[in-house]
Amino acid sequence: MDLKTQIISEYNESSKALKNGFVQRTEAITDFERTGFPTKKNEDWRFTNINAIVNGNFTSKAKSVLDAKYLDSIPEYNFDANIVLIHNGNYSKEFSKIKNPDKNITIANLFDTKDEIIRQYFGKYALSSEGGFTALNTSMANAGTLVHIKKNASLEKPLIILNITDAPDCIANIRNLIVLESSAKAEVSEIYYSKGKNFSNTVTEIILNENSELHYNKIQNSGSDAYHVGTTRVMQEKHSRLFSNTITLGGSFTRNNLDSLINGEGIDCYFRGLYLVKDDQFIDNHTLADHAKPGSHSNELYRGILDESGSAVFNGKIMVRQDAQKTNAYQTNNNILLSNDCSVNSKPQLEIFADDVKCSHGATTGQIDEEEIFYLKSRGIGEQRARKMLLSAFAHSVIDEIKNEEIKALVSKTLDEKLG
Amino acid sequence: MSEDIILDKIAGDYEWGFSTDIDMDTLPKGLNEDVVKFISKKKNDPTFMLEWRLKAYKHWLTLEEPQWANIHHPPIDYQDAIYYAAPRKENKLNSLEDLDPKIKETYEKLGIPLVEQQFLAGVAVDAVMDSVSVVTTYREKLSDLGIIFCSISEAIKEHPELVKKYLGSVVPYSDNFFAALNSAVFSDGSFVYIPKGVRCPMELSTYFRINAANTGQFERTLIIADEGAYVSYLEGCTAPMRDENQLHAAVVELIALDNAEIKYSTVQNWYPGDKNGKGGIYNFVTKRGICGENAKISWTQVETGSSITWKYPSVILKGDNSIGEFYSVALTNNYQQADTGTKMIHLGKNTKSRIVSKGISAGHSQNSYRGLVRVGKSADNARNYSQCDSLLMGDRCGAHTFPYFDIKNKNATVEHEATTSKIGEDIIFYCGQRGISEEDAVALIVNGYAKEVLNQLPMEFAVEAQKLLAISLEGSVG
Repeated sequence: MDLKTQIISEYNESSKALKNGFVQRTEAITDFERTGFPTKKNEDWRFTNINAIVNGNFTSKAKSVLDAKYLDSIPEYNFDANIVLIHNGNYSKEFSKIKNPDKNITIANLFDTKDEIIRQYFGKYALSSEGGFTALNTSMANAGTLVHIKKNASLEKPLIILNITDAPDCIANIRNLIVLESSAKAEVSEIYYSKGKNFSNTVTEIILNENSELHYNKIQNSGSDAYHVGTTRVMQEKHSRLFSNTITLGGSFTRNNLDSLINGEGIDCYFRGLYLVKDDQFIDNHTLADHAKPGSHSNELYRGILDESGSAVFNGKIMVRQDAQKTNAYQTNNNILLSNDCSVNSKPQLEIFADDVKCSHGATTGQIDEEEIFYLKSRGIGEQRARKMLLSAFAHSVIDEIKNEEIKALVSKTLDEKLG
Repeated sequence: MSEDIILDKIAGDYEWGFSTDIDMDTLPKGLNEDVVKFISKKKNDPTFMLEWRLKAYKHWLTLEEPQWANIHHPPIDYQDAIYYAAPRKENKLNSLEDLDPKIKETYEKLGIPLVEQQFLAGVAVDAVMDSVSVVTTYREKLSDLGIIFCSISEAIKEHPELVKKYLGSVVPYSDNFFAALNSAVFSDGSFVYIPKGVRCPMELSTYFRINAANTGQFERTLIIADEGAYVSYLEGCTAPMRDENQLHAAVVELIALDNAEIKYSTVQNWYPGDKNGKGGIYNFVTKRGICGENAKISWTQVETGSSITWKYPSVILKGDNSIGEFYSVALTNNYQQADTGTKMIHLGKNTKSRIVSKGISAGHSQNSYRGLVRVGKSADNARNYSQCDSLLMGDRCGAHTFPYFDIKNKNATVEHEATTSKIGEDIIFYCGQRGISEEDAVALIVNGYAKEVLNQLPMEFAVEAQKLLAISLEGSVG
């Protein structure tokens, strides 16, 4: 049985047991039945081969017991933060640590809580008609996090949504909804760990109302047999600020979609990303900064280091709609290739329909500058170390943008180990 | 700037929109195997050509029109076009005096250097009217050097060995929808062969013109520069004003053998349609060159015409140390759409490529750059630099950039930069202070902006191109 048929039959078996039976579920499964998984004929999946997922014999029925010892070995679990633990696509109330409940702040299982905000925003920006993975998520997801920060409130401690997937052949469908009312502030990180072969499919919808500010990190450090597709859709109202960092260091196959609808003036939208691919890892980042209203600013920097037979795809699009005059949009993608077996496909796109704008993008692909190595060597630094220093400096222009010091230090340490 | 001014003055008239009343030999509308056979017979094709055409036609039937480009048009009815049209008089002439005076008049209006006084200009012209090559000047002078410059139909008859070897070697008939169509029905085009070590002493040139109504023009150009040879080739195009859309699907193949250099320049000024986007040429062209060792191919294009342009002059850098260049100015106004760019395929070691693309959009037009830089595994030390700038005039037009980079070698260095901006009011104001009218200021800035590309054109063409830019932009101050 192929994965599509299997998912549909699993849906039919279990749909009654799924909590919060949104109407969207039925629509989504119909959409999924119609569209199925994307193929290479779809321009957005042209360089992305998902056969390993489609033929991967994954099931949403896989179960395993949470190993508390394993949990302790994950440093983020002990960070000074609110922790939501999602285990194999289920919300673990037992192991989650929500420290400061406040009447203006809701952090809860999206599928097990009553909040009017869910009806208002769920499925509004991540449409199941757009693609198979979102449809799959909308129909099957049964756990995830609702973050709702009311007007003028701010989340004192950062929130870490820790996603652990360790049941063999498990599909974890995870659905998050983050709503910041006007002038609210928060820091939310999605962190992914996995053991063994499994597939996590996440959809996160983020609504940033007027003058709100969100620091959003997505950090993936899964095992070498992990498959991940993640879609984050952001809607930004005027004067809101988004600082997003997408760091991918592990996993066998990763696809990150990050879109922001810039729907007002005075908005700041920062997309930053770092990817490190080795062995035969594959990492694909698709971003869209969609300027729909005048007078806003977006800035994107994605950097990648490729080694061994790793391959990466970067597709960054800046869209400036006809009304979006006075837009400032920048985008840069840099790649360093360390071996002759790795490959990178980069496609930085500009689509501009307004004339009074400043938009630019740049992309480079190259290797470590031999002159820089020479310079360091002439100062008594060994070649190995010199190379590592330069790579680390290259990566740190992204890492340094992470606001959370604990996460920054951990990413930096992991990178160090991976660079060898 | 108020919008009324833009709408009021936008776009100078198309000066080349006259049509000439010449006795034409045309086929009825439609395309089928018999039409392919008819064209082949009309051209006295040898059997190998007929077979090739039929293979291409059969392959074309299996293909679908590409949909990925950022262009929009009503579906094309390929059975509603005429696939062969030629001036009725027997075409090959011994001297220029024998040329149909009406055709001569047409070309004079176009200002092509066709007759003897152009000797000074040093340009040899192969003029293609609708689908048939009318006259080739300076053939004898060139043949003294061993250079073959003739229509492709003559080449098929007189130099079948060269044609057989190279035709379709860079753009096979199976390459894409329009290339397959062209391979099946092409009726003429130019052929150039520069022998080993010869530097062609003058610029070679083709002038294309679509005259008849409802015809498609399918020309095929094949240029071969043998080892160590050099040639610079120019191409210019115009068409009369007609309300219907006309199809132009050409194929150009360049072969630069070891140490050879080919410079190919185009000034494309097909009829772009009227102010409301009615009529105009659909220009769907496949152009590609292949480089041997140390060879160089350079494409320069100034695209101001056509209602739709779909064109990606490419270079396959097969030989070590070969160089590919692409310089382009694409200007769209009113309802024109352009999806143009290049492909640089690096296969050899130490290969270099450079892409400079300048897009200018005005009115309601859409202008896209689409380019691919591919560095294969074996292409050590490949180097690419791309720069794609867009200039927007008016708030109803669009500028788009779709660069693709596909890198498989760690020693490659690939750089890409793109910017989008408009002409600042402060610059216009500055010029105004110094007594330069707004219109002149825009022409000045646009020419400055496009200079890097225009500089690549041979002198006579550069002047023409500059004028063309100014005329095409008349009134579209944003």
